[in-house]
Amino acid sequence: MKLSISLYSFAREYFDRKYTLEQCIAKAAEIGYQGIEIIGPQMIDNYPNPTEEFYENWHRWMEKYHVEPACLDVFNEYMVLKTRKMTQEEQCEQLRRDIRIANRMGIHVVRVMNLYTPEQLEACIPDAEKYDVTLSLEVHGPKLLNDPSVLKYLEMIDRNHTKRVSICPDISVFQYSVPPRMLKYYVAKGAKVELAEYCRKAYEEGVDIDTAMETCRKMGGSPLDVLMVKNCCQGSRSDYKYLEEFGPYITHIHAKCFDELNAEGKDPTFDCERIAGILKKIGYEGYVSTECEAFQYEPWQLVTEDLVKQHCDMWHKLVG
Amino acid sequence: MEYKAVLEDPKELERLVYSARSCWEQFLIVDGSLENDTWGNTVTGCTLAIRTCWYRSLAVTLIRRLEVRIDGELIPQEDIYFQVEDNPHVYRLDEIGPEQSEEYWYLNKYGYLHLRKPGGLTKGPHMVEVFLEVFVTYHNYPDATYQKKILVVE
Repeated sequence: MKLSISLYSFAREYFDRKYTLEQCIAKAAEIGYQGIEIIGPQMIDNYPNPTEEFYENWHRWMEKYHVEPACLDVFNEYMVLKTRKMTQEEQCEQLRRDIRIANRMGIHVVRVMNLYTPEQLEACIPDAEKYDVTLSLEVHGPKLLNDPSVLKYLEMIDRNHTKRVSICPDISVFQYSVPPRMLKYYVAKGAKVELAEYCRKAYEEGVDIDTAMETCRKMGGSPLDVLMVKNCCQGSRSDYKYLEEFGPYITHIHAKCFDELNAEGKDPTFDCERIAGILKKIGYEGYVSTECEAFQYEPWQLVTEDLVKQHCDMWHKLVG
Repeated sequence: MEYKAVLEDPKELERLVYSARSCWEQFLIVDGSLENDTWGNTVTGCTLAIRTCWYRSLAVTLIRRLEVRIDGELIPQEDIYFQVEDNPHVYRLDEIGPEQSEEYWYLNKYGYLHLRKPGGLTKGPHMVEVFLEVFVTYHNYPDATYQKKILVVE
């Protein structure tokens, strides 16, 4: 098991033009990450048509900063043609192009989302084979890890006896509480403290989102309070046994983080120790990839670097 | 069909803003970016820079709505031209079609709004309002951002 960071974590530094892509990579290496995960349509210049210069630079930076290319995150932008939806075949061609981009970048894990159907991923297996990548389906809260829709992908994988499609659990499927930083953000914008407290309780007790939003309204919640409940209850609480059961299918892990570690050195929202224990037990050998969302919930200052340093050090200890 | 501006419908604006996930409304309008455009000796309008409201780069075809109001006066849709920094193409929103699906508004690039307004703006402070709505495919909904800010024409 190795550690990588999704450069998504540095979205704000990149947006502010504080860091170029190279500087994001340098910072990740300095913090202690071994691998780099990158979102194609975020920091790749001239995406979806990266230049030769980009590929040369990318490989040069991997070597210069002693890091490895870990994962390419891609999206099914089937609405991008504006006047109509992409056809099934156009969507597959879009993914095939992203597979080739990953290949040029020396990347073997391509993170896809469930906007690509099992049939579409199946149609791209030959290209995944040719370009030596696995299409890793991210499973993300509020879905449960064992959601019926996920099982359809596993059935397709089994039917094809393939390693070219796999899954990427995001630890938001094991989210046991609401990240404190998210609640602080909404309160700073004017949400009521009592309703932030209600939101946390409602999530921890498994109240479904629509009921929680309605209760919030009945408690005198403003549109902002209701939005807080809606956006803060986007995790799920899956049974940990599925992380073990799905072990053979897992090729990537997204280790979300929102908050500083508490006084016991633990994350206040995710049981990272338990997750790491299961990953060790199943012999997982891929990347555990930090995805820091703090920048979205504290936009009035830059908070990511110090925060991910804590998480990187914690995960280093946990994966041993 | 006449365009119904969100900026002229406070309830709709509030509804959209309070159903959004984007959280960079503080950065939408770029400080110091308002200036008059001249063609020869004629002031044809003004330009304003904005930032994208999403945390990654998006194809320009995913910009759903873009509205500007200056000093309480709505700029007509046909007078708003959009250009990504470092991209030579300038488009009205209704000119953006499938051929532009690979032209991206990169996360670290400004979006320039070239506003056609004969005579431009007087020197001094102006109240600028921008409403930007993008379609986030994987959330299957549009995300809206609004900001109101005083910018100075030097």
